[in-house]
This record gives sequence, C-alpha cells and structure tokens, in this order.
Amino acid sequence: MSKNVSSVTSLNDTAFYKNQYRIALRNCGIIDPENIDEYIAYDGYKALIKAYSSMTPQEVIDVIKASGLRGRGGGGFPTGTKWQFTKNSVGDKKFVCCNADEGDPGAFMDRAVMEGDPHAVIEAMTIAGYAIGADQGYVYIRAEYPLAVKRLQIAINQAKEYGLLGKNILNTGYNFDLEIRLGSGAFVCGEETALMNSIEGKRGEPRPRPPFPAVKGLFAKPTVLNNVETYANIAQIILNGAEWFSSMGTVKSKGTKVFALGGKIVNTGLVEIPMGTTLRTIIEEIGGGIPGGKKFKAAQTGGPSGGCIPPEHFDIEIDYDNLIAIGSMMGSGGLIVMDEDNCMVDIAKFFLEFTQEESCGKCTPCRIGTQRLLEYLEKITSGNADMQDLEDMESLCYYIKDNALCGLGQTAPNPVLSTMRYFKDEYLAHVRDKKCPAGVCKKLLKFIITDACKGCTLCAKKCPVGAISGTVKNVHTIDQAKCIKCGVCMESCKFSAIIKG
Amino acid sequence: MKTIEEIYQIREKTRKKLGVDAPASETRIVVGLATCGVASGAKPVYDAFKKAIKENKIKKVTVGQAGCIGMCKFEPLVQVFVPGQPVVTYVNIGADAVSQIIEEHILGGKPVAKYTITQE
Ligand SMILES: Cc1cc2nc3c(=O)[nH]c(=O)nc-3n(C[C@H](O)[C@H](O)[C@H](O)COP(=O)(O)O)c2cc1C
Ligand code: SF4
Ligand code: SF4
Repeated sequence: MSKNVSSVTSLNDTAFYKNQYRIALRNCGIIDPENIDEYIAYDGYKALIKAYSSMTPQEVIDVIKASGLRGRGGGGFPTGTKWQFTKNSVGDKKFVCCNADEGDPGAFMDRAVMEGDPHAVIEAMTIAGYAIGADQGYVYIRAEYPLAVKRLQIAINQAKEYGLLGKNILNTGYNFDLEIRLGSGAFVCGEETALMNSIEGKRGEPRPRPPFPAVKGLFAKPTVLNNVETYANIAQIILNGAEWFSSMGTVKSKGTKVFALGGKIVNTGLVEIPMGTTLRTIIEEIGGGIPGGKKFKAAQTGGPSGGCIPPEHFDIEIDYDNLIAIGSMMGSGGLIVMDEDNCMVDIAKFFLEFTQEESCGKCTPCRIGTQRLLEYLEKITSGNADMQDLEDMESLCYYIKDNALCGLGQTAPNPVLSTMRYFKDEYLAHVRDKKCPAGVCKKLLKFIITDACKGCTLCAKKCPVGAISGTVKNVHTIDQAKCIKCGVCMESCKFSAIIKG
Repeated sequence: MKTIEEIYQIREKTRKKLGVDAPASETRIVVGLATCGVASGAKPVYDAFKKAIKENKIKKVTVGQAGCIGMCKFEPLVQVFVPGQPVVTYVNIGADAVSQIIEEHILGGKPVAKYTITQE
C-alpha cells in the first residue's frame, strides 16, 4: 500500500475493496433492491432459467456438490450433499427453508443481503425447490429486521407478478411458492429443528436429531434448510460453473465468506473475501489495522459458539477446518478484533451472559450448566475464585459440550475454553494475583494517585461520588471504599498522576 | 406473467438504462438506503436529492436507492454515475451537501472533492 495520501473518487479503489471478491454481496449497494428489473439486468433469474431449461434436478445438485459450497450459517455442512439427501428422501411433499434468523450478536451479513439483494435468495430457493422436488418454501426471518422483511415481501410480490414464483413458472410447468415467517428473535430459533418447530407454530425448542430435516423436517416432511448467504452463492455457481467456484478458496473450503468486521479496527463493515485469506490480511490491509497504535491481542470468530484467535495464529488461513483446529469456528462470520485494552475473561463472560440468557431451558446441561459457568466467571472477575474453581470450571465446560441437546449448549463453553487455552496467564492473574491486567474488571480495579500529583484539585472536583480528598498543592488520596471506578479522575488529571493499580 | 423471452428483453432494456455495457443516457444518483444507511441519516439525503432535481427541473437525472455497500463508517454514502465517466462515491454526507453536489457535479460536471473518499 502506498504511503502517499492520494485522493480517490471511488470506493472500489480503496484497500478495503481491492482485497475483496464479491459473490454473495455482488449486487449489494449496486442495484435497487425494490426493483426486480435491476436484478434481472445483472443476470438475475438467468440461473433459474438455465436450470429449468437445460439441467435435470440431479445435474443441479451435481454442480452444487462439485462446487464444494458449504453452509454459511455456521456448521459448514456441504450444501450439495444436503440437497441430495433431501431429494433422495421419500415424501409426498417437501420444503425449502431459508434461515434468516441471524442471531449471532455482531453479525449482519444476512440482513445486508436481504435488504440489498432479496431476489438472490428467492431465485436460489426456487432452484433448490426444483432440485429436490419441492413446491413450497419459507423464509424464517427475525421481526427485528423490518426493512429486510419489507424488501423481501416486495421482491416476492414482484417475482409473483412476473411469473417467477407461483404456478407454472415462466410457462415451464414448474411450481414454487414462497412465504415469510417472522421469528421473535430468540437465539435458539436459529437452530434448525427449533426453527422448524417455530414455523409450525410450536414452541421454538430444538428436537432431538436424528431424524434430520432431510428426512423429517418441516411438518415432518423432507426439508432443505440453508442460510441466506449460502443461497446468495447458488445462482452464480449455476451460471459460472462448479470449477469457477472451486478455484477460489482452500482444499476443503471453497468460494468466499462474508465477515462482519467489528471491534478495535479502523474499517468496520462487511467484507467478502476468498476462503484462505489470512487473518493478517483481513485485519491489517482490509481492516486498516487497529486504531490508536494499540497492540493486537485477539480476534473473536464464531460469536457465542466460537473462540478467540491469539497473535501467534495471525497468519492462519481462514477456513472452516483451520478455525476448528485452533479452537474457534467460522460461525456465521462475526469477526471482532480485540486489543490490549480487552480483558479475555471479561470477553468470555460477555458471551456466557448471552448464551445463559438465550438457553431455552429444555435440557439440564445447558440450562443449569451455563448458569454455573457464568457464576464461576463472576467469581473470577471479582477476585473470589481459587485454582480449584478454574479446574472445576474447565471440566464443567466439557460436561456441557458432551451432554447438551442442541448446538447452543454444545458450543456455549467454547468462548471459555478458547480463552483459557490461549490466555491462561490472564485467568491466573485474576485468580492468583487478584488483578485484571487489562484493567477492565471493576472489582479488581483500583485507582491510585501517585506522587506526580500537583494538588491542583481538579480530580476531586470531577469525582462524581466525592471519593477524592486533599488540599491545594498537596498530594490527593482516593477513598477506595467510596470509589465507583468510573475512571473520570484518571482522564481529567493533566499530570498523569492517577494510575490503575 | 412473463415468458422467458420477455425476461431477456427486460434484461437488455434495464442494462441500457443502467449503463452496464455502454454509457447510459441518464445520470444516476444512488443513495445507500439499507438499515445502516438509514440509521446514519441517509433518508434526508435521498429526499434532498429528489427535491433538488424536481425544483430545479433538472432533466435526465434520476435518484435511486441501493442496499449496503459494506463500509459502515462512510454512511451516508452516495454514488453518482455520470454516463461515460467513472463512478464517484461521496461519503459521510448530509442533506446540506446536496446543493453543492447538484450545482458543481451534476450541473457543472466537476465532482466535489471534499465529499469524496480520501485514502492513505
Ligand atoms: C443455537 C444455534 C443458533 C443458530 N443460528 C443460526 C442463524 O441465526 N442463522 C443460520 O443461518 N444458522 C444458524 N444456526 C445453524 C442452523 O442450525 C443450520 O445449521 C443452518 O441454518 C443450515 O444452513 P447452512 O447449511 O446453509 O449453513 C444456528 C445453530 C444453532 C445451534
Ligand atoms: S442445549 Fe440449551 S438451547 Fe439447546 S435444547 Fe438444551 S437447553 Fe435448549
Ligand atoms: S475512579 Fe471515579 S469514583 Fe473513583 S476516585 Fe476516580 S473519579 Fe472518583
């Protein structure tokens, strides 16, 4: 990257865009999502026409299989294989469903696709319907996405008007209809069996698998469920061929992945990059590095089910299997960058608070287990834990992983396990030394006024609880019993006399 | 209901209008109006462009919308496609920038540098 400051007039010329390759996001920000003609202009519905007029359902599945496309919703299951299982299942009726629940805090790529290119999802689901022999589809989308819901509904209406959905599509004799189902935003409803229960009007609780949805899914019929981003790749694969798609990526992860870059990074936003791009490229080049010259500490992927990647894995090529090998996972594509000011125990606690809150309560290992895990973390961050607690917490993690009913519980301990694996010294500092090295955990934090104090009285005036005493020109002191650890004094001191102890 | 032939005709017609293969006949001003854009204030920008085009009776310019281009910190974000010229991206603009862009860029033919993106 050149160091000269130059003026560019288009975003396409920035480092942020140059390293990207857009397949799933190809039309986002380009076309008017409320105008079907603009989608058609950019080869929209051409893949559907190609499938209907020149490919058998099996040929469609063969192309998707050969492309190596894997599910973008988290698990990474091969999409073509899933379609094959569902096609092979016997059933008088079959369904195609789309998971637009997007429950991972910090992820918003599915929303971007639905708001920016809703027809891409509709076309892909119609192709899936043709491939597996289904004439009805459902998009399960969270009610907190009103604009996405609105644009998807407009797109469905326009597709119906053009005869691209409904009976006898484009006079080909094939039928496919699509309906929207609103979810109330419970994280567990993104899990496939809970999602199907919810569409059926039942409580959004997981059901035991097997049977898998490919055999007994929605309304007990064979069902394909894919994620929004997975679908957004389909039409391009049909049009450009399996080889085109599989030429991108790593041995076992093909194509691209969209990440929601967030946290301590200059360029936050949505990026679509070929699989196998290194974490370094994502953070330093595309993301523009960490603001304020701070040091990179970790990248969190996979949201509440994932883990933290430490600096020693900065050059890892991001794909499904590499991430799992280092104790994290792809998840839906949230990528949160952390610097030296983040406390890793606090991060683990943040995710545990989320999963504990979102546990549906159906099985005990998750319902009680996440509660206990959170209690351990609270004990650690308040300086009340001992070494035995650390050991017990770790074995509880494995117990939950092995015994929870669904993916939510099975992956809930991951943020704890991965931070324990790579940042053990931080846990030890909390437990043994009763210190939070990053200065985040308030109960372990102490503000101290050093001899550098000039006695200007500014901090005493600023302290919201009157915890600072002292007279003009004399070193001030903080009453630790009164202090609420707000940090205002440290920020306001002009002589840097106040430090975290 | 359309036939396959009609879908292809729509494709050709719209590609011409959008200037995909050859310069279009009209200038397009496209405002990013996904949730992220709207949250950072893109709707008033969109409305201001609409109003300015109408009030000044400017011909052969349309104002449209698009989804999220992915770069949160630059919202509200506006792309201007003048036929035969590279796209110009305006970033972090408010409704107060609209009249200058209309005057200098849309009517005067010179992009307003201070609202375009600058990078290191
Ligand atoms: C607790 C939990 C939450 C999930 N949330 C989502 C979600 O929000 N969106 C999604 O696409 N998949 C989610 N999944 C994964 C789905 O169960 C399912 O694997 C996926 O939708 C399949 O589509 P894919 O193969 O295209 O990824 C979740 C799984 C679990 C266990
Ligand atoms: S693991 Fe958690 S979310 Fe899943 S069924 Fe058990 S209690 Fe419910
Ligand atoms: S940290 Fe806040 S409450 Fe504590 S002494 Fe400083 S200003 Fe007062």
